[in-house]
Amino acid sequence: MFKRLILLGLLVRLVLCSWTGHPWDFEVFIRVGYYVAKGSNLFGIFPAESYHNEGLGQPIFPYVTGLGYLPAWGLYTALAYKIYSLLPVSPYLYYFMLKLAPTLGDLASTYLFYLLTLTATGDIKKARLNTLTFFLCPFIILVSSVWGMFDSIPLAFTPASMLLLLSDKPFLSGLCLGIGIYIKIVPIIYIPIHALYLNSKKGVKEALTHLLTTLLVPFILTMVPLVLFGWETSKAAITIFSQTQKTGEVLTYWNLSVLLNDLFPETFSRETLNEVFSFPLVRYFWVLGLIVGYLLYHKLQRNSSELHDLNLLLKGYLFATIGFLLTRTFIPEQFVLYLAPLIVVQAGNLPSKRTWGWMHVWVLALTFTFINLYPFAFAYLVNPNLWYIFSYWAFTKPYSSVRYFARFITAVAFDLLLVKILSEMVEKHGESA
Amino acid sequence: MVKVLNFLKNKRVQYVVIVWILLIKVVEIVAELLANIELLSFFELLGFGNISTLSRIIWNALVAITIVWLTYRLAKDIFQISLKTRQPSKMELLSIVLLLVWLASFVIGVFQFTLVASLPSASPQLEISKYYPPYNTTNNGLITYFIINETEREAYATLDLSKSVFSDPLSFYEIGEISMFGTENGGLSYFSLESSPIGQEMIEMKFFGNGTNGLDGWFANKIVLEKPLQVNESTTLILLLKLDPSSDNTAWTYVKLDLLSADNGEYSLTWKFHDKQINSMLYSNDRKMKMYLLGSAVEWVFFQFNIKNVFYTSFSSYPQFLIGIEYGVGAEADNAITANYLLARISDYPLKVCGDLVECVKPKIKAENSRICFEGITALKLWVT
Repeated sequence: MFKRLILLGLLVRLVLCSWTGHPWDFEVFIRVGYYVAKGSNLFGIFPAESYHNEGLGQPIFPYVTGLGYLPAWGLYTALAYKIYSLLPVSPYLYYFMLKLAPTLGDLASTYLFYLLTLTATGDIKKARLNTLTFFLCPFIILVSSVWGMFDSIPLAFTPASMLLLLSDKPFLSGLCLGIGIYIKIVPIIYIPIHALYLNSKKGVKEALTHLLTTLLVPFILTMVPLVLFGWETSKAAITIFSQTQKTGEVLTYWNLSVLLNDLFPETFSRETLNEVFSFPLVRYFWVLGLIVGYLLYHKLQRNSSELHDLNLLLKGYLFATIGFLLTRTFIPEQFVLYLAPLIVVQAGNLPSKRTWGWMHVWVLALTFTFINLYPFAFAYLVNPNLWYIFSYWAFTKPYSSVRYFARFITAVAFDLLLVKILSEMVEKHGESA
Repeated sequence: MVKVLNFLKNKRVQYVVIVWILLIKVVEIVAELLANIELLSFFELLGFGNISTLSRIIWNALVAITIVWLTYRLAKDIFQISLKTRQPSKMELLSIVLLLVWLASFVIGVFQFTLVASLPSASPQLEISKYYPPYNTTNNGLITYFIINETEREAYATLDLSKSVFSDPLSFYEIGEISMFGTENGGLSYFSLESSPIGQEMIEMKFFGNGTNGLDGWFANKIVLEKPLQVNESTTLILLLKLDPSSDNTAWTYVKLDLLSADNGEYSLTWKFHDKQINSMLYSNDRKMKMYLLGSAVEWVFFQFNIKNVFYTSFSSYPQFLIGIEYGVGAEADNAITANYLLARISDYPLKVCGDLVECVKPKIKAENSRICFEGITALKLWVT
């Protein structure tokens, strides 16, 4: 039965992946893959080059921007195009190739959550249940196989890194986390958790070595294509650093700014809002969120000698993730995947002591996603009108105001849920201590 | 509210907030220092070079308060020094109020003085800067002469092209095919012909984004020339422009020339100017378009390009006709951007002053017998320091 359900999850993914995509993100991947495969600079794609290509994607946006990631994903999209161009039977093959990596990322993450739960509980039934909870989760399926986002790949590297750390292989663990960061920079927030853990177990020298390994891996892997293809370092750095300059949007209470701008454009003009979001304390609010997350972990580590190391690290991951999600001004929906360790953390809970957890998280995230972008728009590759209809409703008053209001309410509910989860974890720790 | 206050009274919470604020300040300082190194100029993105004066004042005041706060906390927690307050007398209260009023007026006074002293009109250069009208112009209008007054005769002087007035400075202003993306509806993005208070004619380009974060937007105008313009040895593109910086360093403006080569191949040359420092060259995939990214244009910048030379360097072929001109302005679409062009001209000759090719906005010149010889463009007023 277990294997059948896994096969079912895989089948659903394969059925969905070749004809769906996020109208903006997936279109960017399609074009970046095409242009980089043709020899363009991954970090130098400018409007004239990222123009829509007949037969690939849809011309719903005449031009799109480049990627804001380290080179890994851009290179993969180029590889996907190269493979497709060997046998260019249909662009759907190219879309399939683009989704193949996130689908494999889902599988890898699933297996690692299986191992994590088995290590944490020693119960094979719970391990299988958690595996299915993750793999069959509609939100996970949506992000990887419909949207085309690849966060499940770096996500797979983080538990792998955790397991290696627990198996007393700090170098391999650093290498693993470094690769995760190279694919998408988000797991960088877990480095201090690893460092604090290693510092308590093996001393400061091991912690520093691990830290250095983790940081060097993405640095070297980024420099290799820059040197090899003659891409400019400054452009790569600008692409990455610009991620610190995001205004309030998507799955965060900060998206109130969009609603206010929509309702009162004179008072909450874009200039005023930009001024707010570029103010140092707002722009780097997430730093405070992370500091709090690390301090909570440090306290937990100091006071809970009886706690299993795996549970300790998982909670550390969650403290850092929740701290980050509650404070950063720009939270794309796919960041929710980094809350998946909740599945394992709550595996040991008795059914009678049901807590706010993963199911509430993904249901709210999915609700938000469908308010932000209605489901049919993901089929824009089949018919671009599915996007045009949505964009008319989404950006025309008064419908836009309703949408922005619903987004804000859902995002606030989501953030309150995170606060609730965090306080439950902290309280539980207080009780056990 | 009481809960929040109690939370903030917690010593650990206070230290966390102090560390956070000081950490951001350290990031700012380090980013600014590294950005001074040419190869690491991209670090400026981590700093706060784009925040307004008011935000900067508030931010620096916050940092100062944090330092005082940290000193107080350390004094109390490590050195056990505590400030014990007693009920002040009426006289003391009055003195404190007077002191505060005096302090406030002093701060306002210093602020006003700083403001006035830093105004352009406070520049001592104004005393010796002056507009000069032309003294003589050649019959064909190619060369204009200016005489510097005897009393201010100097062998060396500095011109400021951004404050000078030219005749016929814009050779490509007409409505062609407008294209746009990521713009706000309602005509907030536009091109218009403006006149400055001192009579300078300029193209004002406005881009007003629709607020979509992460999307590049633009507003552009493409003019297809009805009669192709012959490109000769000295045909020159002359640009004098300024771009208002965006909030997130994504603003740009460009001028693109479509040209026919001697063997009838269609090629394009694009000159693009950003608000951040980018110097680069890019080819399109088919190598029929070359784009030059020429640094930051948040202050007035002046460029002139010999079209034939640039074309040959770019495509190893000779240009024959100019067939189209395109220009535009853009940014990430949650911005409002303005670009002003004081000179946007295809000229038969390059701009020279006293025989020297002009290469910047404020060229230093050597006036011979108090005479400035200005050629390539007809100038109506020259600003000389």
